[in-house]
Amino acid sequence: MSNYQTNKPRDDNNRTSDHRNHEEFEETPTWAAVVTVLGYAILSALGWLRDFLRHIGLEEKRTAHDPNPKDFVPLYQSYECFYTRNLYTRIRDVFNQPIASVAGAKVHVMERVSDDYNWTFKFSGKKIPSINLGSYNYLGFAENQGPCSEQAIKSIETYAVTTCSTRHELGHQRYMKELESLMAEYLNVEDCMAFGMGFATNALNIPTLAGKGDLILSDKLNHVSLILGARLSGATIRTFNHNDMKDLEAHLRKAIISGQPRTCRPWKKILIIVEGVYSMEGSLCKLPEIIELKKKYKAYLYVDEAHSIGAIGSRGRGVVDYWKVDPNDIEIHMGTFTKSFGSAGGYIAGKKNIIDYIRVSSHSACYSSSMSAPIVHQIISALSIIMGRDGTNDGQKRIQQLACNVRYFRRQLVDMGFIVYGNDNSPVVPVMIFMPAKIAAVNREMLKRGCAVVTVGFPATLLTESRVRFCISAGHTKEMLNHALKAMDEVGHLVSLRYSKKNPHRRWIELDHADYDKEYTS
Amino acid sequence: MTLNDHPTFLRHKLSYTYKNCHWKTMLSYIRRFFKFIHWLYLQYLLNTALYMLEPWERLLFSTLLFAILSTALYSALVFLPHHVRSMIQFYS
Repeated sequence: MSNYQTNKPRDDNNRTSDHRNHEEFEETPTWAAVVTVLGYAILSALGWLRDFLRHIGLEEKRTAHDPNPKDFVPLYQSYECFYTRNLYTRIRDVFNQPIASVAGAKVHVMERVSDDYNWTFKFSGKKIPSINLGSYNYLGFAENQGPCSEQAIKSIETYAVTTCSTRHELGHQRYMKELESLMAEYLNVEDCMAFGMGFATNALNIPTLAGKGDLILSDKLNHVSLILGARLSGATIRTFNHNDMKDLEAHLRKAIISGQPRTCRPWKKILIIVEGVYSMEGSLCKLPEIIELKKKYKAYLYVDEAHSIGAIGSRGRGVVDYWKVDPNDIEIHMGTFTKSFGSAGGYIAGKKNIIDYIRVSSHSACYSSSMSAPIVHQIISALSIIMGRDGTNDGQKRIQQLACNVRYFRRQLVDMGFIVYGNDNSPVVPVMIFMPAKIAAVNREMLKRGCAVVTVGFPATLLTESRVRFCISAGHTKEMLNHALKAMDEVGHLVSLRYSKKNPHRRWIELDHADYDKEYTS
Repeated sequence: MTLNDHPTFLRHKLSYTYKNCHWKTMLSYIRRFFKFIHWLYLQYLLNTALYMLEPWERLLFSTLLFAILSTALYSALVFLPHHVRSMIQFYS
């Protein structure tokens, strides 16, 4: 099981750098944790004061409030509402920012002003042009010009926008067959089926695969769509620690030895659900070890490659390509078209008999409408570019550009002294912020300097682990990345975000740029 | 007559720029100092989460903090010498 430990250099690349499989989650410094908790304590105390003022009537109530009649169960969960009223609303202007252009490598963010501390907003009319570091536009296909969008627009003339029907009824169009066969060839599996919504692909198809009497072992940090699908299925769910193979093995052994909870009968099947790239951590799953475990204990594997398809791997085929494992070892490959292909929707791929069963019994195929023509043609043209079918090597260039950008950006951030989570090759770059007030400060200051970033706090992350998550794209040029790094350097100094104990804190000017430039062009 | 022909003009020009340079660096030091104070104030606001609060809440919290700290400081200044002296007497 120790063939694919981290830090071991791979021999399938000319790069001999030992960053190849390096994954790092530096521990939170104690003082940062203490200050964060103190900050939340002060906010909670003042939140109670404000709630009390609202209760006695000195301040007006601006949210929908629960009338709380006698003998009725309360409508709202108390802490979530308290959090929304008193913490989230205060910095609400940095979340859900509306944009006014195509969300490519550059985006126009609409400026909002608020007179009453973010309870209501007014648009000032100004559009702030900024570098887009928040869209999952990994291969740069989110553009409104070029071959993909031309094909998408032309397809409307042939097929119109919608089929007004579900897959089982009249929604099985010719382009769906084309998409599915192309996707199956791309992933090197037998068959594939595509759905209109990535979230729904997980939430509505896991119930067809697992049911009562099955066991689902899912990673602690799995996406909400996987958790929802697992809960809807009715199977027993057990979570194992994130990327912890010993914990997974312990769960497998316990499950096989003890069987189902009350009756002690053997489980009908055991399904392990993992993700390719975890979007909040930037870590990759340890696929070879999971496959070894699954073969040893005869479980089934479901890999959700939402963020990794197209973005990871030397040919862009996802974590399967990155770890060079046999695609037939994984029962269900799942992914979305939203991220790297610049479209919308999801797919499930695998052996033909599994996909045939899903075609017949999926909730999504039976009740949700089929995919729209321009969306499918966008995916088909993006796929042909990535696979090199259109005659150019634009696809391979994009994949390499993304890999270069990711290495360049990550290395400089780490060398400047920020705490950056995740694998060195993942295009998702989370930089830790920890304190709640800094979430707003970082977002506003970065926007002032022309970079639109996504800052996340509770409930998407743990309460004390808020972060700013950069999503690098193949559409970003080196100048854009330099601008973003300079902005981050300034903001890091202003807001004091350099927490790392392992790396020395350095300003951008102090870094040795010739070294990075050399690595970038190689 | 060119600029270089007139020696006093050049000297005056030099002396003007020299004094100007002094004045400018003094001003820049003062500016940097104020920027540093502003940075310190920003760190105080960010670390105590006062950055996201309304001005009256900031005033309330800062007043409370100042009151507690000043009370502690005053008590230390008034009582500590006497306590330390009596402790030394007790243990000696």
